[in-house]
Amino acid sequence: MTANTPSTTHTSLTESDDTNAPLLEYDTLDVTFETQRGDVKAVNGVSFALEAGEILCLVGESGSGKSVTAQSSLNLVPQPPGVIEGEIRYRGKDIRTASKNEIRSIRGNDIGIIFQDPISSLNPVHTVGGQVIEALTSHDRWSGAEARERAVELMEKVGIPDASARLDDYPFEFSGGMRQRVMIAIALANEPDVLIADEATTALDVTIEAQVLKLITELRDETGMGVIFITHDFGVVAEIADRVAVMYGGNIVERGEVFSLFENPKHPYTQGLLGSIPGTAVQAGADHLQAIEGEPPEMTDLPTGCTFHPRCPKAMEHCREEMPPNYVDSDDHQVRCYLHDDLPEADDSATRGRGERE
Amino acid sequence: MSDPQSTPDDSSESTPSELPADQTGTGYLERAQGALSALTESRMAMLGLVITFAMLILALGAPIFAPNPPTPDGNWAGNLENNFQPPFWEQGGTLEYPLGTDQQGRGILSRSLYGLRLALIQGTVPVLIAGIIGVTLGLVSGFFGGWVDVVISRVVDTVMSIPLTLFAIAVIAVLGANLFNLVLVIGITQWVPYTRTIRGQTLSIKNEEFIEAQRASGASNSWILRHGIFPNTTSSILVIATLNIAQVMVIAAGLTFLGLGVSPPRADLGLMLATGRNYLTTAWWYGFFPGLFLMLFVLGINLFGDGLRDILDPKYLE
Amino acid sequence: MSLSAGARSLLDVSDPLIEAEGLKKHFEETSGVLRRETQNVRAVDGVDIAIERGETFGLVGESGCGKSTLGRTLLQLYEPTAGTVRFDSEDVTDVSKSELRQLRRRMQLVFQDPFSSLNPRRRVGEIIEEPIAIQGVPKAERQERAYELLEQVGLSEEHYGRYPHAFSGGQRQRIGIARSLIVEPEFIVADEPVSALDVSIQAQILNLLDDIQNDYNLTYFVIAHDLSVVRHIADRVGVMYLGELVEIGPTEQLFENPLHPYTQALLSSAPVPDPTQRDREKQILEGEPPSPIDPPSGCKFRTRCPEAFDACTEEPELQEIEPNHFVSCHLY
Repeated sequence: MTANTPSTTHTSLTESDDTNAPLLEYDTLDVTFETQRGDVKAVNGVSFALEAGEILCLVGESGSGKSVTAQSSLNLVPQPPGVIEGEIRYRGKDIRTASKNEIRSIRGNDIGIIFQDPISSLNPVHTVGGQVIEALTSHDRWSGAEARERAVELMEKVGIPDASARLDDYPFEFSGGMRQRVMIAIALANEPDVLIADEATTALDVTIEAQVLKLITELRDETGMGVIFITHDFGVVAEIADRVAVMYGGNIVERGEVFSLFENPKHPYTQGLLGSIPGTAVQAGADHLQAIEGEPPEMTDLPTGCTFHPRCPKAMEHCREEMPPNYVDSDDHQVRCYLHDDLPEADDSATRGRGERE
Repeated sequence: MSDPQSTPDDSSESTPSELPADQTGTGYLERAQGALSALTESRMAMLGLVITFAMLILALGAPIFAPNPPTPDGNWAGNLENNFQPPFWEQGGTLEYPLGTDQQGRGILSRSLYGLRLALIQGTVPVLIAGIIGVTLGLVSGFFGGWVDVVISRVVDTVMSIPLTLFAIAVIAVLGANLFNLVLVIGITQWVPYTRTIRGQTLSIKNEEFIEAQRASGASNSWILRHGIFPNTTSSILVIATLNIAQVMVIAAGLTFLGLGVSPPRADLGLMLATGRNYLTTAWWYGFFPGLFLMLFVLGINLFGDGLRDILDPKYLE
Repeated sequence: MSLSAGARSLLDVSDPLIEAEGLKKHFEETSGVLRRETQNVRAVDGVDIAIERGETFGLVGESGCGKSTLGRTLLQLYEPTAGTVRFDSEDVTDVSKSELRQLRRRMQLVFQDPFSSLNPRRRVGEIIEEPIAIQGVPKAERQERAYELLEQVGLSEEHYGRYPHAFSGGQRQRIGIARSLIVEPEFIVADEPVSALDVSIQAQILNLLDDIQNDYNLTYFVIAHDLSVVRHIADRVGVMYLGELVEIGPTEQLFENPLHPYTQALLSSAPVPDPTQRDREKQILEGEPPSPIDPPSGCKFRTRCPEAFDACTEEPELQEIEPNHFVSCHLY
């Protein structure tokens, strides 16, 4: 596929690869921001794992903690005011407490990340080609003419027409969709195992979004990389996800395989979200959408017990007192809701939350 | 007092959120309370506020605090027998004239306090004049653009290139040196920073959607300027004006020092500094204390103004 | 320029509240390093449309297609470069300023961004009152109306004295809607009214818009890029591409049987929240939308159209293919 090979082989972070370990694993991640108004618990005991070759969608609305979760994996959360606890493991090795140099070697090399707004992620005073080449050379794997050749290849791969000529163009000469593709090219330059896409298509038009989603799934098929795709759009989730994790108020409240989740959403929040989308069949013929009452919680003032209970149409007494544990059914479809307490609790320690809210 | 977000409301039943009881106060009260609480967090600003407040009290209460005030018609009766008395803690000084006397036997403390009053006028009136001119021009040139903007910008360039002192000398030579002309001259040369800042703000505010909403409701340009643009510039104006007052006080003292302001026998800090220059070695207190008072006043205002600027920066406006 | 048969039929609506004929809005932009070059942005480039009293018309299209400009030009917030707009059968393109101000009572605009559409230095009650304050209505009456409206949009009287920054996005959008209602308009242009809101709040606001339409007998012109939103609320839909309407029809008809290749691509590439449909055949368009500064000649879509052929170098005209379903394409 590639004409040239890098000058050094892809070094993995750990000498002894734990081949049984998931590609990327979050283990009871807690992210708290200390602000003047009080502590904001943005992420509360979140645990999940990403396997190679799978696309995991992290879904939630604003304030759910999904972006902070992704950012913490590459040490992109400023500490202070952030306080992070828990482990994030790449191929079995904890990268959350890794040294600055180690993190730098992981970023872009093993884990690539793309954000929502390519305008602010691309340096406006450098050519696009320059930035792709910089990504290639920064990990000492390519240099000089080889790097330039590889940059052209990458840009062609992400579907930028006339790539070799456009290497010398500046970001402002590209449209939004093209800029996002450039971001993908940069993120993929060093063939990472993991791609984290944080609302990567939210700002794009529908037709361009379709192109970008197709590109991501194709790349996953070719290289077997794992993808964490963060979004609030259930349509996107349905299109590309293998597994889904729904976040609310800093917790993962439901997770499972995508077909299972859409066919049989267990958590009232997920049900409410799916019900309020104008597009779902549930709405057929209905004049009014089934809206969820109330507003997403204020992060400085999260409700006691289950964070969703003030808005939950099925809330019970118990919900006010304690956050429910994670229950799991036979299809590994997990939900944190007392309505399903007939199911066994998920015993995987990586998925059980620590530091439960009282 | 922080402004908490309203608790969740829902579309079917209106859920009253927790609000402070007083909702009929003016909005300024609410924001002033917020600003005040933020102010207390900045020690510098608090210090500035305290000093300024103290000087303000002294200035406004000069007739009360001055041990040797002038007669009601402004006459400083000096007793030549008491001239050049040092401050009370030095040999030869008395508590009757705590900070000493000048060459005519008038109390330095009393004269300085009255000088503070004058300084207050000399600080605030020109700022008022400059502010009105500058803000109006800034709003107009930013909002209407086009040739209006071009003309005003050229005027700005011109005014900026005139050296203040020379201009003051020229004008006052013609019109005469007195308080009125002094504040006038300073006022009409200090408006440029207002125009620049307000023009820039106007340019960005006028593209906001709420301005478009006003237009969509049939608002005239005058309405939009008054109710849309101007209210959103008041923070900047406040910051510029506060710091400007201190600047202008110093300018006024300087011009008075050069003889372009009020004349003796009025108690003016700049005048006292000028005369005090002659007695630096023989009667140091003459120039020292007026200078000290002026410096404290200016310092206080600057500290407070800096703190204010930090608070009123948009990100603090929550 | 005389109207095509299709356009004439399109404009032949029984009780039109808003009509536009040959509407164009071009902007001049200076560009180039020395700002010497001016370019003509053809945001709206020849639109014929008639909106029936009481209906909800949905306008879809991607960024740069001119839909926001069209909405604002209909409201006369932009002066048309060419063409006419009629409100309640009266030509409004050429009226005096004071007459226009009168007209403002009858039509309003709801904005997309709940954060910049409210004056941060005014209390919420004053913001809501402003449209009638401008008209000169006395304070007591204004306040009464504002209280009423706060309740109607799902807030409460107590919110009157607060400032916008104390409210969430969804609440601010309600305030914006209340503001537009206080003049009791007949026509509301809603420019992406829910796209800046969280999904769970979107549904609340859409329901609210539905409720007040009934209460106030409103005619809506809703601009959205989210097809499912439009499908849910619109009676008729128009698809816009580079300043022109390429297809118009009743909602279900258009969604079930899209005629224009662009509409087909749009509908098929829009994500569907049903994973069982992920392997459906999707028409994914190549390339990017061309710029409205230099659109292609003839049919503007031909550079990306999978079915372009020779005739497409000529501009197509609107034709009625099915009852009330119009398309501008040489394939028909």
